[in-house]
Amino acid sequence: MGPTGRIESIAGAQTRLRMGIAVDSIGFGIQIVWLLLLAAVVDSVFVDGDDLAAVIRPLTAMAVLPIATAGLAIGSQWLLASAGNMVTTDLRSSLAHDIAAKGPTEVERLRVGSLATNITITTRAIGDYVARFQPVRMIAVIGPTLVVLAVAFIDLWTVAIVTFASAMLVLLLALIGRRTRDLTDLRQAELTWLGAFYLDMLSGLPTLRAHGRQTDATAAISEVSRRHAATTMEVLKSAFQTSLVMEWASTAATALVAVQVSFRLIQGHTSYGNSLAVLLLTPLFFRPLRQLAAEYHVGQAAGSAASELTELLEPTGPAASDETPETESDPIRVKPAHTSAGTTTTTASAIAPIEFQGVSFSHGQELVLDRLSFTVEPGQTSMLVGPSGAGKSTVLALLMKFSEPANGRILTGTQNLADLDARTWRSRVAYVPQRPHLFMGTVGENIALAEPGASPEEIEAAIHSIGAESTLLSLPEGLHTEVGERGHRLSTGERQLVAMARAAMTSSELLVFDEFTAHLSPINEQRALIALERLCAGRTTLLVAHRMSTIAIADTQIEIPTLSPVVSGA
Amino acid sequence: MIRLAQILGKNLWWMAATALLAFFSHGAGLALVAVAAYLIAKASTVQSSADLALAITGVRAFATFKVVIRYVERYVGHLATFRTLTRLRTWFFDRISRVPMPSFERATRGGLLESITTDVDILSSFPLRAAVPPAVAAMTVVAGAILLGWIDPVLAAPVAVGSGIASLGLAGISRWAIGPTSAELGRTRSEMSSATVEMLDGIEDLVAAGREDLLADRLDAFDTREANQTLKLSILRAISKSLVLVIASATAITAFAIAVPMVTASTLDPLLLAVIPLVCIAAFEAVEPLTAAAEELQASRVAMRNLDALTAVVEPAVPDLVRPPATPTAVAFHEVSFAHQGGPPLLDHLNLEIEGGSHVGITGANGSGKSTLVELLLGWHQPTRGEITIGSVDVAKAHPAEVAALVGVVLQPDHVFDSTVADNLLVANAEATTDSMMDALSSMDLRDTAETDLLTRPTGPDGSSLSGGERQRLMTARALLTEAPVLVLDETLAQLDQTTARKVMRTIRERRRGLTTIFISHEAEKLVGLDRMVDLGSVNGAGNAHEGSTPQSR
Repeated sequence: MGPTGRIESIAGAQTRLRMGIAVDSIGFGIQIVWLLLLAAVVDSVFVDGDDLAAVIRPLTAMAVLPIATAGLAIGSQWLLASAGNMVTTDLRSSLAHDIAAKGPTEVERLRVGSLATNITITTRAIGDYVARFQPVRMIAVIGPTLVVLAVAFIDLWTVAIVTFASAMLVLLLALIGRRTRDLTDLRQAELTWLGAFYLDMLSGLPTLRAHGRQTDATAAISEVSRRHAATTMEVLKSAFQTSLVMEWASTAATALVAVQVSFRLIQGHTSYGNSLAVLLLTPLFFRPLRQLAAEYHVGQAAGSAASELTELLEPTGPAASDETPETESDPIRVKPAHTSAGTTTTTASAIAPIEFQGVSFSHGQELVLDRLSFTVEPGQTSMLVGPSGAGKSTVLALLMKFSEPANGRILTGTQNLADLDARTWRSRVAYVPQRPHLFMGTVGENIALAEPGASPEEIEAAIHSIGAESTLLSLPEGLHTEVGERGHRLSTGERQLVAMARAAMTSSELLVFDEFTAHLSPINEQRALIALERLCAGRTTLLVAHRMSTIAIADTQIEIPTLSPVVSGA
Repeated sequence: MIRLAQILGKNLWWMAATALLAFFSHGAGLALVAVAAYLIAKASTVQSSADLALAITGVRAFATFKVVIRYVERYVGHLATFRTLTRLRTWFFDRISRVPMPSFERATRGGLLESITTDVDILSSFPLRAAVPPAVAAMTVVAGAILLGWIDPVLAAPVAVGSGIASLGLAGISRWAIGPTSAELGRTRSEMSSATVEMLDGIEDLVAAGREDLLADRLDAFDTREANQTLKLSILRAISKSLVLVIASATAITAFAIAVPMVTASTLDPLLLAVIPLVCIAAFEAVEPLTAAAEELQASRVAMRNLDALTAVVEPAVPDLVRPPATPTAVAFHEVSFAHQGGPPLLDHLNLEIEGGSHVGITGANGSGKSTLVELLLGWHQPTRGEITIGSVDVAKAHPAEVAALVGVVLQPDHVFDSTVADNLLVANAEATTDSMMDALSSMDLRDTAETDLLTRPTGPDGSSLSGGERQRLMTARALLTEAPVLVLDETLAQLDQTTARKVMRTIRERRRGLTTIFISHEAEKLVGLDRMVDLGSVNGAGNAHEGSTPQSR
């Protein structure tokens, strides 16, 4: 998909782009007329000896025409910027939906920093391509054509000169351009990488300071910047060659035309008026080309940006619209909700056992789970135990369909989890991660995350049901208390209870907890455990924990064995 | 902008060179047009091409000169920009790395990224895009006016007046319309970026709650705002450019209208008639880039303000430090009280003396001030009263880097850099050898797997390629490598199960024999075999740190 591949599918954007270009072309035509008028008035004074009164009418027209050009320029900008906005908006919304559908595993793999850049900045680069580069590219064809048409009526020799110069120009640019494109791709990759690098360094600044290494980090930044500058300088060196050629073509053509017409003037083969007209029009022939060169980086950046976004959008893009049967090789596939709703809701009422049958999973090269099998009985609280790094969190990620098993299957009742739509499945599960994320907003909004329409009474009921009223309802502004960024205005214990209340809000029949007491002090842990016990009642629960106190409430334990390196090499 | 000039220092000479070259290039263009117009006028009045020799040579010379100078100018200009970029990036990181921790923590992550990349990038293009164009425009207009004035003094007036009006108009539009809009757009983009980062960080929760749509919803509101401001800005730019075009045309016509009666009255050589409007137009070609320049200037101002605000107060430069010898060093908290600004007291008259070379466990519930204790010890926060000493060093009076050299620490949360295991270990001790790194890792029970070399193993962004337990052990191995006189391990064991935790504890105790080591945990049962246990939780707000029981089980 090219940067503007999408534009055709966006109603109105294409039309605005075309209209904008048309308006721009008219503006360009008026500039030609203005210069022809100037040549005519100079001619009538210089050759015919006319006085000011004789030329006052064309002069007045020349004073008015630029105002019309201005109006057209503003109008075309309005049209073009709207087209660019439409494309940007469309891309952002597709990306946001796509990334959300891909889920946490993909977000982690693709990095939050780069994804945020892609969603906010890269999409704008493509919008700019439509609003800025595309029109300039069109005018670079239309403008010179108009000039040649005008000149053809006046002086064919000049047509020959500008045609020759522009042919040379195209040839030279083609030679230089390819190299520039490769380097620009490299530069774009470097830019994205630099963004992630800075974020990493800045996030790690407390650590660097704790180790007294901030000065060395500053040196590293300087080094990386220098290397980046070297790459960019390479690109620009070629870009300068482009502008050198541009400058040369335009200047040389002007000089050639001037000398050529002056020789023919002496011989009486042409008139002064015609000579001046072509001299004035020659630079105008090259002006759109120079503008194209100036905006060339916008086009290049968009090209690189587009390929980056295409990679992001492709895997789920076509899959989401196709209703082809499930293939196990596509782990991040998302089926449209309506196709699976009928098959899944039939069993939703009954609490089915969860069964892992010979499930294997690899993280890159490393085998994390090897033919793991176990069953979680309905209504029971089961606990995953095993040494650190044995893959307990991976089991939960598979159960949440954040990832899909490489081998084996996970059953809920008689249904294979792989056949279920991820969203439908997750709506039946309440999940409390190790470090629950609180979003900017109020306590109430955070609790009602999964049930956005919930009334304050329902939220309070959820809080009561886990016995957290003394903590959460006694906050300064109760449910309206702002949690701050990442919930930093609440204590760790309060954050954990908000996450528990979130789970209590849902009518999910399966609860999944990942080491949720790992960061809690004994008092908070006690509160969380009370909440947990109340939550678990009557539901199937799977939890990861290694605290003795948590073990007490579990009905069964499921052992996850560690894999020895020998096994992972097999 | 004086501030920026100070930061740039010698880079300013590059800027001046660029401006001069650009002026030569524009001047040559202006001369080329003037001579060419004169040439054809003369050609229509003479019989022999010999009479044109001088003019033709002029046309060729100016054309060649213009092309060559233009290339040199662009090269020098961009070189200047990149020197500026490197200078600014380094300058900013140095500043931000010395901002006191409380202010640093207030700055948000998404916003920070935006600042360092966008603001620094804007500032680095300042020389080429904001400072050079006005200088070039002024020189070119003056040159044009001198040329016209030399033909006839009256003819200089339209250019002078026209360029004056154009400059004022552009300045006004950029000051009152483009500047504010572009600042708003910058804010919108920064907020959009922060909100996106926040949503993506919480994607696990969003997806689990079936609220994937929230990402698109939040984004949509920002997108609408950004789209409107982008549109407004595009139109304002078009208005500003059109203004220059209209004034340039009016100037050319006025100058021409003044010249015509002079020709009629024979007070002006008719050969120069075409030269007059053409020089006016050529002079305004240097005025046109001012629209973009004014915008850049505004953006640079805002960027400089942002960066300055972020780094308003900084600690003195990091002094050259000698790694302190690993000798038994005592740590003492004397009557220490601490509260965040406007917050409840977190520590109240705390007295705690840790003997040099002893291994001490500090336990306490959340909110009892365990992590605050660490931050106070590192000198990141200043106690509201009381004093903290490490050996003979008073933390309040020492440079934070000096304290950092004395104290090795595993923070909670600690950062894993997106690089290799080895690079992360080298953060603690740049001189660590491969052997010492492998030794520290294996003491934490981390070993090579069959196919991967542990030291070159990628850690992923913020350690995402590591499991929770691996991460903790890597952080601990890193802290062990510091060989600092005092080692503080904040919640190092939280992610580890009981068996691994005990094993790790034993190794740390062996490696740190005779050196002060402080273990902080909310799980007292994991801290075994220490010289002394302190329960911070039971003394919060009460007075002295109470001695707890010392489990001696092995």
